[in-house]
Amino acid sequence: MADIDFTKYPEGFEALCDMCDFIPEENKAAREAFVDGLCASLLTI
Amino acid sequence: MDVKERFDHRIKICHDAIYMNGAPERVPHLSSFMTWKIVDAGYKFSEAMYDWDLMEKITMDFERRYQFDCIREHGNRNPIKIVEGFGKSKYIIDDEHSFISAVDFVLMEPGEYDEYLSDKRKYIYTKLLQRRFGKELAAATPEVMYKVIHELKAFQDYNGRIYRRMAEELGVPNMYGPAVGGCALESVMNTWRGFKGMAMDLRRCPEKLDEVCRNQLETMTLPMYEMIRKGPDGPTPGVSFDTTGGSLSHTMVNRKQYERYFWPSIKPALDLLVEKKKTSYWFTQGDYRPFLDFFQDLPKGHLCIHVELGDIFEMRKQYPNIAFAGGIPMTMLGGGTPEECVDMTKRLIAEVGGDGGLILSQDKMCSYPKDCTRENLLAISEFVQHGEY
Repeated sequence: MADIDFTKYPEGFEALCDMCDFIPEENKAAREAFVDGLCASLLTI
Repeated sequence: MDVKERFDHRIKICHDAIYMNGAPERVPHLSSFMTWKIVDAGYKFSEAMYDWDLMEKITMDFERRYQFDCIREHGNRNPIKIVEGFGKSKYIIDDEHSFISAVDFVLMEPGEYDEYLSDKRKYIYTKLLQRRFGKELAAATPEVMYKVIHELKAFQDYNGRIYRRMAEELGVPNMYGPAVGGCALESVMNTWRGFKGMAMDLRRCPEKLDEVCRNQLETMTLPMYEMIRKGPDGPTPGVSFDTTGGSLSHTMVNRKQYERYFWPSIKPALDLLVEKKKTSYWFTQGDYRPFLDFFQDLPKGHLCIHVELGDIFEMRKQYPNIAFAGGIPMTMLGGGTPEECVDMTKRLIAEVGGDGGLILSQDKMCSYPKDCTRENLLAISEFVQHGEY
């Protein structure tokens, strides 16, 4: 995979969405919701 | 009973307990056991918390041993694996002493509520996440972040699996449906500003807290209530309680602040429960007695409050319209005898659950070795199941 700067927004957020390969690519909203959940988890755990 | 009959029976006795039209056939027994189940199984915290297969075995064996009717936690409270391939979680695990402590973070600086409200996703990503994991994000490779994403997926898969196995193999229903009555102060205290920061904001910028709470109410809470309103009346199939609720941040507010910040989401939740003939189980941490009179006009049959602090016997007398969960002191579970535990169980059933209204449980979340003995818990479970010990 190409190098990505995960500190950048929206590029880092979008890169994380692209990694959700278990969610169909066309379901952008679901991928975004998953990454929103990931951010929430990282902040609370 | 077969598994399906046990499943249905567990839902029925919970319904009978909360409806309070007479005592259920037997008192429902609710597990508020957290990481104690790991030490009860003979493992260290870190062994189970880094291994979903082991946690699944521990959680299933725990239920087989004690046969609870409702379970609050299925080994999924502290999914530290999601974070630890990437950074440090807020939990500090001490396996030698079987203790877990948590670090309190302040991630939101004073005066940033407007920035949060203007673009929540961007604010969380560029401010909160950077402050918590800035170095890790800067150093992260795609391979590392791919693993982090898939650890969250593994956690979600674990949740799906454990709830399904509990229902299909052991006849334990999911305990509840969606959360109601929530307040944004929970996020302010637990994730963004910490205890001290929220205490300061309650004095220095209460109107900003108004805005944050109102925003959550309008964008998340009320739309969710509308979804429930559009659904059918009455019990939700397959769960013991239709909804859930509870909080910790109420422990930092006075009655005026409770009415200002919490009541705007709680009042419509209670109206909804009555309108749709639904029930709700709330884990209200700390002492909720200062606020219980807000609920005195709620008809019986809708709300169960888990009592962590306070005299549950007195609360039964004062609030005949509210079902209560809890009652067994953790001090007794850890330091008493089986006979004392069973005597307390009998007293709770007679005085708190005489006409329904009791979900038997531990008063606090049992997490560490000294919180309970196997002998005491087996004695209570035996009495609940068979009426004798």
